[in-house]
Amino acid sequence: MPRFESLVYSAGVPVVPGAGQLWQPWAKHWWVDANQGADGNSGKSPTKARATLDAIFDLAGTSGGLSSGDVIHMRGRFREQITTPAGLFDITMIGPSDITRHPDSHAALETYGGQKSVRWDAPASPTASTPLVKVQQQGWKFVNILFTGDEDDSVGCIQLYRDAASGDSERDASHAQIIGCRFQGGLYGIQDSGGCARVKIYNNEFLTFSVSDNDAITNVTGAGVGTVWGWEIIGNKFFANYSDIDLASTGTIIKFNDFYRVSLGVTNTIAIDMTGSTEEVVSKNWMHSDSALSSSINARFTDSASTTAYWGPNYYSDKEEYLEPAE
Amino acid sequence: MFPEKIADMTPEQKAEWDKLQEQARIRREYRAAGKLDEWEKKRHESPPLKKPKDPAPAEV
Repeated sequence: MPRFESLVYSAGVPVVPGAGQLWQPWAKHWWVDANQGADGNSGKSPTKARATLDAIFDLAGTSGGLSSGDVIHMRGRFREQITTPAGLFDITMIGPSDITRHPDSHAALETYGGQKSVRWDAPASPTASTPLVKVQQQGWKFVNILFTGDEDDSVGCIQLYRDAASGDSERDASHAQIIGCRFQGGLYGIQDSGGCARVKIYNNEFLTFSVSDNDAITNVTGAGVGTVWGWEIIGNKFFANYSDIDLASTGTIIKFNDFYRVSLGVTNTIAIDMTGSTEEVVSKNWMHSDSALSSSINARFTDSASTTAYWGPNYYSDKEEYLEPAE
Repeated sequence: MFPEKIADMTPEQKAEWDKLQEQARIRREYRAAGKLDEWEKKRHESPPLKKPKDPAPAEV
């Protein structure tokens, strides 16, 4: 079953089953340490790590600097809202461990070489309605990172952006992969704006998107030029969210996920809402509730009403269900 | 299946796409107003919105 819990390696490059190599064999590697780095450093080795993501992206376009296909190794707590550079493709941003714990300040840890995990957090005074990262070109990967939006729920985590321009002016974050991350709070975890295609969301946790305008995964309807085509949302866990997946899309595959109904004091309202979609496959998910809810419609699950949508089997606590539950 | 780009749609596909997006937009208005239950009730009462329920495969 594709829970993607272990990595294999090919030519020294880690490979996620179903997602391929985490970076390209000819990649250059860059290092950024929010706790112990310095922006005056070269960023070319762990001991010469830069301190901010903004400073790492300043290396794009410089001689021998950050190039498409490179890897950015992150650790420590970042408090930045950034837009990825135009024209920079296929970057892997990766934390040091698949343990996505909070790298809180700790004197002993600083003595012993600094934090070994990474958190991408909103600034203390964030710009509202601006994500932690707005991705503008294809093929970006985010791996093993804890994302936390702001406490006021005005800042989302990852926005995948696509516009109607063409040629060098085109901005399109299709083919993004988000793997092994934790998204904890804020306006949204992952948002499409413009209709990016072939996005893969594997083995992440989404939790505490807990109020009514929050979503773990969503899109802006009626924006841009694409149909949110061919996404794969596989092997994720959704806890304590008002809304888990609210996605108007084409041909999305949602498999092997856990959708908790009540957790951490939050009762889920929307688990999967595919209104505005077509041809979605929702299969082999664990729904963590009875199929029926007190003789009412179980509104946590809404299919697209597309004649080519495929729901089932999905697993409820009382039975295996095809199509929407409790209809 | 719809193409990846809206610009590549046939006129018929575009009309269907626009209809779907309008449905999504309206539902999100219900959500923003805290009236999801009302939307669900309307949807289940409106046959054109729902496909017929297929029988589950026989257990083996």
